[in-house]
Amino acid sequence: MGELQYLVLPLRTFALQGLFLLVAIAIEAFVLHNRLGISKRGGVRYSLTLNLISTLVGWLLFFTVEPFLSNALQLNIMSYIFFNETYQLGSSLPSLTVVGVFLIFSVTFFVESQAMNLLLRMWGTPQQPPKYDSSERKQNRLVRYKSSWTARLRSSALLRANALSYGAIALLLFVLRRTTFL
Amino acid sequence: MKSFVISFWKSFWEFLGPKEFYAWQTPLWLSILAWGLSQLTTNPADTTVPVTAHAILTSFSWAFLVIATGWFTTVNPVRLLGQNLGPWITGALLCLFLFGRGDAPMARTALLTWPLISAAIAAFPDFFRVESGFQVPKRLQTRQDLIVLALVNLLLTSWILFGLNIQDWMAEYPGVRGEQFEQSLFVQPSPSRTEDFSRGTSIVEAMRGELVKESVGLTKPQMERWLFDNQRNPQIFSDAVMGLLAQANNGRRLDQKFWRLETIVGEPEYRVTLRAIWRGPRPKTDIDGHVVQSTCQITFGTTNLSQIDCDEEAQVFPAG
Repeated sequence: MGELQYLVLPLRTFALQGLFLLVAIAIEAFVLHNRLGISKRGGVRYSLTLNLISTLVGWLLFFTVEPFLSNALQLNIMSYIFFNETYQLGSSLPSLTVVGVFLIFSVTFFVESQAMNLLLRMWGTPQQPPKYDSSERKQNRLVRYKSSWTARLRSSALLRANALSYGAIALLLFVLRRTTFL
Repeated sequence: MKSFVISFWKSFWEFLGPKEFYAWQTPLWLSILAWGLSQLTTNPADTTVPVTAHAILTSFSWAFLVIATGWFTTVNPVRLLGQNLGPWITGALLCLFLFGRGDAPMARTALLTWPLISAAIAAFPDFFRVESGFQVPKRLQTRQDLIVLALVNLLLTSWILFGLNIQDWMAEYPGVRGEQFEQSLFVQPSPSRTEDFSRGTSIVEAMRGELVKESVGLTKPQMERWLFDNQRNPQIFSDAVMGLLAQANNGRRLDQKFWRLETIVGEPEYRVTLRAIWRGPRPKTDIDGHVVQSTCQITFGTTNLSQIDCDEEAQVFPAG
């Protein structure tokens, strides 16, 4: 079996993605627990589901977009995956990296906040339908204000959680690039 | 010896013998029975009817084997970090049954659907009760677990798809296999892997064949003229070699544009070094990739016609 001897498995992808997922889930669970008052267990559950969803969306985007990229970009992606080195990209590398990281971060945040809304609707305690009593019209406005405020709180907590986990992963990547044991 | 055989048979039968009707041994024995019956029927090489008794019995045997495995692993779970791995074993068997008969594309389907089928098997007990039949689980915790189960298995499918993508890239750019993957954050070569220089070797062999073909029967001045022209315009020779290679690969040019071909003429008259240099994706882009080369000695005997004598083995120089 000559072919099998040259079999190359993406084992490091599995290991690194697993590690990054663990780190991100731990950090985001902590932040969600602290900021939104979700129980510790619930925080882990939410951040586990959210991170899995955003990772999956990332893979889906990669598999759908990659065939339509220009040949040069495809080669660069392949070169980066095989050798951790871009191929003849030269001076446009830093700006491409910045744009790429920004895009990935915003897509992750968008996907996670949408998924969070969905999960809260599915799993959260069902909210009482507001009573439209004439005497409570003023209070109704307060309720609406409050709900918009909780939505904002939720977004800011999620943003903070994502920023922290991305920072941790960036730090990990920086350390990994400098080590040779892998 | 006899007592040993008897005691072995007893414990064997205690394990596999059906104790009651509703147990995992029942489908296992049904599977064995179906397999035995299928051995009695003939298995014609080219069938005239779409379905044969043999095929039906074999399918039954497979189906009962899958059921028995699923049942056994539910009763005797194999646990890893608290998660029963049984569904994935059953899923692997089921994929083998469904897609294992085909060629390479079917193998891909089997690999890609394996986690999804396994997840469906793992979720099955939550959706099915013997008393009430199918139902959607009501408990919040169960629903959350099911969503996580589905997501994790979709992630496994993505990983498998990524692995298949990598194999495709290696087939499309075979020169990549001659470089080292040590720096990669993504791929891990199998432990016994050494660089595979077969692509470079085949290119140098094509160069050698082309040189021999071009030089046969040339007189000394003609040969010198050819070598001189080749130094001034090496593109013609490269194109001829690459055309030959593409023909050998059903017209696919693969990674040809990343190879630089060199012909170096040296002493004693004329020692020709044929060299293929990998210039494609590689670990250190500031230096050349791996190099494969072969030397030929051109001599002119008393007949004044060129005779060419090439090395059998191509030499390989890994990058760096």
